[in-house]
Amino acid sequence: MSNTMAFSAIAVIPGKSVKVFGKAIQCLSKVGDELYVQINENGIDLRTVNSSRSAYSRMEFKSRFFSTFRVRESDSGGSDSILKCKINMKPCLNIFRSSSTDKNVNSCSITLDGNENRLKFLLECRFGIRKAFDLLLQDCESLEAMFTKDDCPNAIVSLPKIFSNTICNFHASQEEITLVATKENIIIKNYVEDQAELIKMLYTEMNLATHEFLSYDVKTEGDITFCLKEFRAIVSFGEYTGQPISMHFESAGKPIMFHIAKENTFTADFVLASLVDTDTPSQRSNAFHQNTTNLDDSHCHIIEDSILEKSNLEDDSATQDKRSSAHLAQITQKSNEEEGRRYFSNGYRFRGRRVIDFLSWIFCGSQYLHDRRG
Amino acid sequence: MRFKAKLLDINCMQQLTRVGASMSRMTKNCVLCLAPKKVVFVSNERISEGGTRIWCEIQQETLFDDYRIEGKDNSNRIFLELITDNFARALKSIQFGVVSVKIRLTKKYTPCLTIEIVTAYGNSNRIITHDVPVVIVPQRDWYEYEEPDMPQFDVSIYMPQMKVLKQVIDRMKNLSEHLVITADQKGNMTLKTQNDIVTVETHFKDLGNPVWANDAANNRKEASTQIGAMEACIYIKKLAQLLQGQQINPSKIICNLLAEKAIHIYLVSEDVILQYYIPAAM
Repeated sequence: MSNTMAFSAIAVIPGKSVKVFGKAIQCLSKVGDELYVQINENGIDLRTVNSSRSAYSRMEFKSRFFSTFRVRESDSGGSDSILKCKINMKPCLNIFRSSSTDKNVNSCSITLDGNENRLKFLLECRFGIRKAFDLLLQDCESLEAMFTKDDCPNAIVSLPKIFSNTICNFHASQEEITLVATKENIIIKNYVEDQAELIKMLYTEMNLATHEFLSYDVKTEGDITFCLKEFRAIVSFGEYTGQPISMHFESAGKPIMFHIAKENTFTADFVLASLVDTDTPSQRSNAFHQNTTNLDDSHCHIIEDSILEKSNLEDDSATQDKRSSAHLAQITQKSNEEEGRRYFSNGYRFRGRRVIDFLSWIFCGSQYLHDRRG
Repeated sequence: MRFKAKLLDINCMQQLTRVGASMSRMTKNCVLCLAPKKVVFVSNERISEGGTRIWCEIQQETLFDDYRIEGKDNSNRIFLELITDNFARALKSIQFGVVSVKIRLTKKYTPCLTIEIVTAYGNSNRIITHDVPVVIVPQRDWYEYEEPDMPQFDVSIYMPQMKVLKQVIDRMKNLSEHLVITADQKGNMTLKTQNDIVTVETHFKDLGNPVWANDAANNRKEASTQIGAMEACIYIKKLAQLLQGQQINPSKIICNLLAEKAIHIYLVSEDVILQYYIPAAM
């Protein structure tokens, strides 16, 4: 705990914006179980990634979102002028779950004190009721995903209402949907993994005309399959904020990105891995080739970047965990060729292909990002 | 084999949605019988699973604006087996602003009942297509799904309102597995359930007894007018299944009681008739 000791920050969310923040947390909780918090002089940055690393989300709340926003940098003026920490999603979600329902919250202040290793939430409610929550900071690392939505040939901007009207036609148990983009229209249908299931399952297809969207720019036609669960969360956040959702994608196997922003207040980015249909041989070999090159030039490692050096063993084990998960994914890639998908012993099912595709997009450690940009 | 139907009226669409939803609450699978004059949902449960039979009939003209069928043999019918939940879910897409609903029998990867819902949004139409997979029932098996004969009942009585009945049954079903229904031709009905420590009876008076048309009335055993109350013991769960989530709003409910054998319930509403046959518990 060297230079971070003196680092502290305080941010106060005005009453009317508390619910937006709560909805943001709720949306992030649908993606991942851990919340990575970064605070710098520009604002608060919340990120999460799911356990199979196939979905990533980042929300930036600019300093103007808050009524008060102060960051005191470390005296030693260390290399990092940002504060990074990680908290468990569940307790954080509980803070805003109760407050988002009642309108009695006057303000919510978020305090981070480098000395205490705790993130404090204080809700000032009506009648002088104050609710204080202290969340223990877990081992700290920085999480960064590499994605550039500007390079995507296909960009669609839409009001959230159109998407919500679309996805309400799918059953809650539906895992993935496929989006077929052509120059004339968009077709959204449910993705059926097993052809044998088709004789039992309800198959739904929807047609959306291009003029329903605020902006429609499809240069390469094709289809892309992604998870409905996260998409639902994105749409519901979009609906609450009333801001349009922009969607960027290329082709099957490449990630699909969503962006919601309110000028000078917040931006939200989501990256979802897309599914490569392993059943079609031609596509399969292409995708595989692509993966290997991606992995080669990007050294796909998860690097833990300990800022708050907690000298406990948990840190190490966590690091190892992550590494081994990356390793696992690499193994999967090999076996994937034969099997197409794999079931892991921890009971969480994920498709090897999907993980690999996405892993090549996620990098931890800002150094790498810096190089790329540089 | 061809089938094509179209609905343009929102009330008709909602009626179909209600029937679909009610069916999905009562049974997992059913056979949809399409005939020139009517559309029927049939479900015959195996005896080992309780042996309940459902027959839900809608007059075609009351529902559809356009109805074309080319079935097999002279009766010109088509029998399709489907998962009720799929059908009900597909119809859930019928929302505010719906313009038309088209139902067609299609051949895709498997035979499907394709439901095309056109909804107006602003000045454009949005089309949602649902494919409900079906299995075409071969003609040799049709006999299983014919309308059940009017059984030779001992007592025929009107049942109390759906809401009242549901309240009573919902409470009783927590007490015991069985329900004893006792009824007579003077308008009295008793619902009784018991376990080791309690006996609960609910008495209904002056319910009235329907008068059946000649041929049906002949079926009624002559003796029943003389003897008083008759009773039948059924699985309460089966009756609860009929009542829970029932969206067909019946104008009257008729219960035909076959002493010690079964009860046969008729839910009669304007354009839908639902028959529900529960055999007596062993």
